[in-house]
Amino acid sequence: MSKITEDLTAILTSRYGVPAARIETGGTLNELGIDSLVTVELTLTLQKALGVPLAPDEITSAHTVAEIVELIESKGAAVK
Amino acid sequence: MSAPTSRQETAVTGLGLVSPAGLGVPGNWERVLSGAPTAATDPELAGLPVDISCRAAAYRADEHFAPGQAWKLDRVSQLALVAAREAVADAGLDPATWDGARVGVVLGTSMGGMGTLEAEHRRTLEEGPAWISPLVWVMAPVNMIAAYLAIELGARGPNLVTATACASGPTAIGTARQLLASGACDVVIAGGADAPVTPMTMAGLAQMGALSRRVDDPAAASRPFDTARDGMVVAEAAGVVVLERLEDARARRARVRARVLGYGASADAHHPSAPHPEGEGAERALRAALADAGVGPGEVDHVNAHGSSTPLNDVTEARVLRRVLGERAAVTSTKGVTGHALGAAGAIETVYTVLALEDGLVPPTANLESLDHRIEIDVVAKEARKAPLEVAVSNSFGFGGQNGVLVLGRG
Repeated sequence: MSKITEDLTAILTSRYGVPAARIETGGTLNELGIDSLVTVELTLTLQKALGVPLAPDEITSAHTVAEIVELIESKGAAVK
Repeated sequence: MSAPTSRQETAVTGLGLVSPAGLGVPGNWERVLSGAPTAATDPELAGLPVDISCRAAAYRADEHFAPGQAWKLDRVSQLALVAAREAVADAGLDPATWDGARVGVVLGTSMGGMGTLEAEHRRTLEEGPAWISPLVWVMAPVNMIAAYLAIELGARGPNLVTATACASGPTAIGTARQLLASGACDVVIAGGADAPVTPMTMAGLAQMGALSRRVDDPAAASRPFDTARDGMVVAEAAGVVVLERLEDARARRARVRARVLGYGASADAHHPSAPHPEGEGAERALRAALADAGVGPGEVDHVNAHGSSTPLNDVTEARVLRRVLGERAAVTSTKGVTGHALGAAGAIETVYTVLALEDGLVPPTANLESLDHRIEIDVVAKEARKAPLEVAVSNSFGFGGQNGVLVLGRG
């Protein structure tokens, strides 16, 4: 598991109450119980936690966790 | 012109409470009957001119909400949900099977999600608009308290929040009763919630001179009707009742814990914060509630007073009670124990009044050591008083001169 995946999983489980087992099985944020408003909040959380710039609409609730990890890695977010 | 009366009988079939006096109805009642105050120094208010409050200290969010849920709700909505769950269960109603379209929600609040509003405003100024929470306008606005109850309970009938400052609770319960009388609802979940112990709210109330300055002795600060009273202590709380038409409650063999006999409301139309010097508006609300109930002034056994512990309210209210009811009623202010929970105050006090009627017990007014000599009514102090109670009144008077009075009868 990459550092970004670990960080994202930790954020989703601790603050957003998503069980870790559900994250491992994949699925979109929506399927994990993260609706569109909460996705915007998650975007803010990720920017602060990972130091990566994200526009408010850059992540949507239709994204999977794997896609979000890919997006953040593509921005070259160094492991912080 | 004589006012029309609505004698439609309304039953209280469920009660729920979370307040400084405890989590749940039984614990609350025990604490209120004990007369032990709850006011304490509040670390979150450090540095403010008044740093004492009455917190719902027994409430822990993680004991009531699944992981990841509580942070999406302002504290005021959390308190309202916890009290509502207790009230609905107490009524023996099951949200999984009820006809949700016939279930209404009417809750009162003064400040709504003030904690969220203040935090996000601070964030906007300090961090910039890009960092504001996208949830601010589903957490802070006053209407959301009732909305979250609808969402959780599947209560799909009329849903609203009443805002008449410290009278919001009786306004909600009176409005709920009208929804039952009109046939718009079969069940209404009513009451009030407030979580106003926030820096700006507390600083502003201190600036108004509304708060007790007894910061070196917080337990003695809320002392309704006492000669040495010097202001209120702010509390956070939620109180919820389940209301049904009496015939419906009896038909389903529900436990009728009390009846709402009458409701009266008025405006002082006098001053933004000070009560009318003669209590003219309060008196009209009380007389309207008695007329609505078809109850004579001499029939009132017990009054849960507004009794906010402010110099002006307590003497004005006592004079109104003396003028309208005489000396017979056993009067208390439970704010000596709980502090003043603003828009939730009248709701939690309605629950205490129901419990007083059920048990034939009038709680003592905490910290009442020396009755203000201008107060010529029977204020219960020191310890709870046993008395047969058939009819009781709950008074609530708000900033803005908005007044609400309920008349309750034994179930």
